Amino acid sequence: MYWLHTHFHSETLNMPVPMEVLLPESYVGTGAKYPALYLLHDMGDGHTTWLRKTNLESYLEEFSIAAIMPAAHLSYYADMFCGKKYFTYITEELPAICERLFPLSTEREDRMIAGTGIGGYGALKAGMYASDNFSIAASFSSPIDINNIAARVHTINSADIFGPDPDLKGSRHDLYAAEKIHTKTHFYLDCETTSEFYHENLLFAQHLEHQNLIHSFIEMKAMTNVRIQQDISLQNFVKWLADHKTTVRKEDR
Amino acid sequence: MALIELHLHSKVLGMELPVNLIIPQEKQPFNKDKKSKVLWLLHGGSGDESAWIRMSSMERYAIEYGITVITPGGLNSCFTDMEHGGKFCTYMTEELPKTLKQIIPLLSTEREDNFIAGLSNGGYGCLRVGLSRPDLYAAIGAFSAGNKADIPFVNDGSGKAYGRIEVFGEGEIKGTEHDVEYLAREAIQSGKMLPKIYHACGSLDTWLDLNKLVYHFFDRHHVYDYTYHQAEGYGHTWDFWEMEIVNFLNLLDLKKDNTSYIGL
Repeated sequence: MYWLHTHFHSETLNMPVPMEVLLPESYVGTGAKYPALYLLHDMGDGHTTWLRKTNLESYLEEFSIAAIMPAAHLSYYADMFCGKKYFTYITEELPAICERLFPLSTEREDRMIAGTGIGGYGALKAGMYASDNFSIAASFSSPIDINNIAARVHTINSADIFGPDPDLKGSRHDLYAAEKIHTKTHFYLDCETTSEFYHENLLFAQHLEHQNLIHSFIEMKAMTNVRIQQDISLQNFVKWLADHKTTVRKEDR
Repeated sequence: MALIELHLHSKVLGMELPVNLIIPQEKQPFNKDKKSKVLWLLHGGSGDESAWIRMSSMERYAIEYGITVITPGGLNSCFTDMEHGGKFCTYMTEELPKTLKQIIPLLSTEREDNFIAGLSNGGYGCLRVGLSRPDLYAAIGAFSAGNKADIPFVNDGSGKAYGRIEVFGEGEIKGTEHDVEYLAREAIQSGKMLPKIYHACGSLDTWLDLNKLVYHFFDRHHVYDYTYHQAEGYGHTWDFWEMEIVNFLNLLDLKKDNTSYIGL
């Protein structure tokens, strides 16, 4: 595994930003381009959290997928009302930079995005509002309802991120409000049945069903610790991704 | 594009070692076909892969001259194939370029785009590595260098003697692959295109005499495009190496470009 601890400049954010990149060695010499998984952190965490607090590297090694872990600070993955354009950064500039720098596939099918907690909300938002750029969007134990998400943020910060309107239903931050979603996008949600977000996930899965959007909803057993939960979610997802890609490849043939 | 701290496992060395890369970040939109020239930059006896980055303004020069700077870690190997340790020259010439080409495809692997430089033990190292593979590098920049083969072997039981045995084995190393003169003669005999050499040493450097021996050798071998610069008043210090890396970059025919990269 190649681990690239990277500092670069984001023109979208107009500041230097860090990211962690993992490239499995199995591709070296094959000339093939890596499928890439963009992994988003929860608020309060950072770009190193996946590396430090999960077994990410072993899962990627087994299934030969590259991982890109950017920092989103406290942006809630939004193009902020009064702040920087993190959503544009993550969904547009970051893949462009990574595909220039590393041997990543530039095909939509090979670009996937996932996250835990708010990172999962961000990933689903990318799947909804930047669906031409990502073929799979996945969330682990993530809150879905935008008004509930905003209500948990301090009022002043919430206004900076989402704007002053207390009702964000129908706004560009609302996962339910997206239109023109790429029909081949696959949404993947997992949630513990005991989670406070379980009901939100269940409703969202039903919404995806009604919209005829491809989706998988995985009900998880609750673990004693959020990090163990995160690690198991990741392991299941990467395994699912590998199986899924094999299936899709067979269907294409 | 970036400053990258790359951690990789080397099959040649049998262990994991870090390599730093400074890749000048292009302004968007990107020209996907553009390749970057590469300066391989070696640290000295008390340094590691972070030395040039921490002790000099290397990133600023990388951007100014539009060249990727790769600083590999070489432990205490002097970047030779150690007699009792890792084969660092093989790692540098056979493994690392191939690996990096695979994971960072924008790096040019053309000889004319690749240069190697270093200070002190890395100054010796860049001559050792560069002359053993004249097909890989268009130019060598050796600062406060010296040919290790010019230092008589003395085993007085000291730590210094032990260090030498570890890297170069017991006994003299004249006429071996650790000998800069031997490698330089072999390179001539190979008939391959020879790298341009820029060699510099401060007049106050403790090892000035060793540098003069190198100078005298190349002065007798006109087939090399060789330049020697003795900097008056400078010792074995970073202000000197900082000045010399810029002198070396200026010799490389690089186009200074203050519009294409971020950071200027």
